[in-house]
Amino acid sequence: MKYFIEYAAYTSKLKNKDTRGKALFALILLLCGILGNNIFSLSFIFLVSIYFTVIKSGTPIIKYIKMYISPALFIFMGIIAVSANIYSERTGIICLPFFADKFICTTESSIHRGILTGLRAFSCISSMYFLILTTDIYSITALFTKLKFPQIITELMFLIYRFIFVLTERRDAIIISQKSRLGYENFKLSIKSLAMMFSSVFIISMTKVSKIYDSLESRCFDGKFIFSDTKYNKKDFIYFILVSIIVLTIFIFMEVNLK
Amino acid sequence: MKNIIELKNINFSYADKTEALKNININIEEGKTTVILGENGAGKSTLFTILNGISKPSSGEYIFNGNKVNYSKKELYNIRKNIGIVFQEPDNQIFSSSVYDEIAFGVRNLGYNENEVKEFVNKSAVETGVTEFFDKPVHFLSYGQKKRVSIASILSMNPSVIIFDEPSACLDNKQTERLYNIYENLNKKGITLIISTHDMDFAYKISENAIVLHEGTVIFNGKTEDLFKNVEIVQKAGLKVPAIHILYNKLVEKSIIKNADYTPKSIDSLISILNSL
Repeated sequence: MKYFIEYAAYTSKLKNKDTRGKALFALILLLCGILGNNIFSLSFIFLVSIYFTVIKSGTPIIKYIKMYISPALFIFMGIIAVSANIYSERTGIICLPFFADKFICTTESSIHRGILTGLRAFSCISSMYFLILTTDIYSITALFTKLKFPQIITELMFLIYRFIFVLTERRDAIIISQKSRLGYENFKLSIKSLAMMFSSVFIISMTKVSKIYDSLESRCFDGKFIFSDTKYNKKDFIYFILVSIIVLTIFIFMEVNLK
Repeated sequence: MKNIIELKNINFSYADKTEALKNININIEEGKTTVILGENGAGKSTLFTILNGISKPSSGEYIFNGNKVNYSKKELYNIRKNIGIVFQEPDNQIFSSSVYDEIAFGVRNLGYNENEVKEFVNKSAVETGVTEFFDKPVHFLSYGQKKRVSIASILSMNPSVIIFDEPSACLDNKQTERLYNIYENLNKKGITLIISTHDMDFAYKISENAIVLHEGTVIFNGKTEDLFKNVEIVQKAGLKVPAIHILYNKLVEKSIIKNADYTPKSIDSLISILNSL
């Protein structure tokens, strides 16, 4: 499905829950993911994120798994890089000849380090996925404004986000139009069509900016966006604080006691 | 009837020296629906940006509600608060991520608190029938739905004048009919409507007054019925006479019906005249 993240945030069962609470919870999960140094505690954080995103929020599991494909490719490359080292003699569990008298070997400790790195990355990603799949962009921007983030960043973030969809729709329309007239038929035409499509999208984005600015001006825009999130609820906020405390306690317990 | 908008000798040129509007003199009556007709490039959209204060005329006087617009920040705020504009292309207007926030944008800019914003947003959403997709991301909406959201985002600001730039373009019959009902309700509320359209049947049905632009100049400013009696103007501006107007005149000409007290502007009103025979 196109625009899955938006769709998931819009249909999430947690979409109307307190944004501060969800952001705090995601931040705690992220910090645990970064600081965790234990396979069990990192797995726990990863599972908690999955539980809240899939079970509590109702994100379709298959789509959710698919979201991990792209980062997984990078993470697995990272795991391999961390797990394998170049040695001058055969050592460790797996050993492959490299060049001259050098070998690429993995030891038990390097594999452990690789797994920890991978789990850490997945935990961090899953915590951010929790936030973006349960909260719409407006609420996140409103929260950033409330937290006194620089206005230029929040406004740019907000407008760029909208433009992604406007330009994506335009790009799709241009590609269809090009394909209908034999664009992308062979490699040479593909390169040419792609270049034309990019230049067209760039020009369109410039004209769109001017037209959208007119539309903002016509509605009394004075240069400052007013973000106001109505999804603040004390009860929900306390719920997420309590859940965060429980998760943090279990995480610390695992870090200290399970090795 | 009081004129809410008066333009006197308005000229406007773009940066490339293209003269978009030449010596425009028009009056818009308060509480009435006025259609602005003309071919593409006649200057309709430019005129609208001048009415909303987005563009400043090169020369001439713009009088709103009896006061000359001096283009100060305060004056522009007042103009934009009172004159809403619904752009032709909803994607050029809508920029928020959700429908609610898009509708709330203008009201928040007017300085209302969040409870009042909610009240205004709900009211305009009900009027335009967009409540069902309040929390929906805007890019999940159809063209017709986006159009209604863009109308709701102006209605929520409670303007006394609303400009619609080609509102029925690219809409199916059902959506056009829905729009027509929205205009009728707005008109009943006494809101002044200024609409540009290429759909002459629609223009004839909806408006009391018409202004015809041709190559940046006004070639007609009067009652809509009178416009379509003027063959020369109709031909010069490349307009099409509404079917109902032709049919009614033919029936009168053939003495099938006598001149009624009122000119029918829709099939329904013509049928009721025929039924009364």
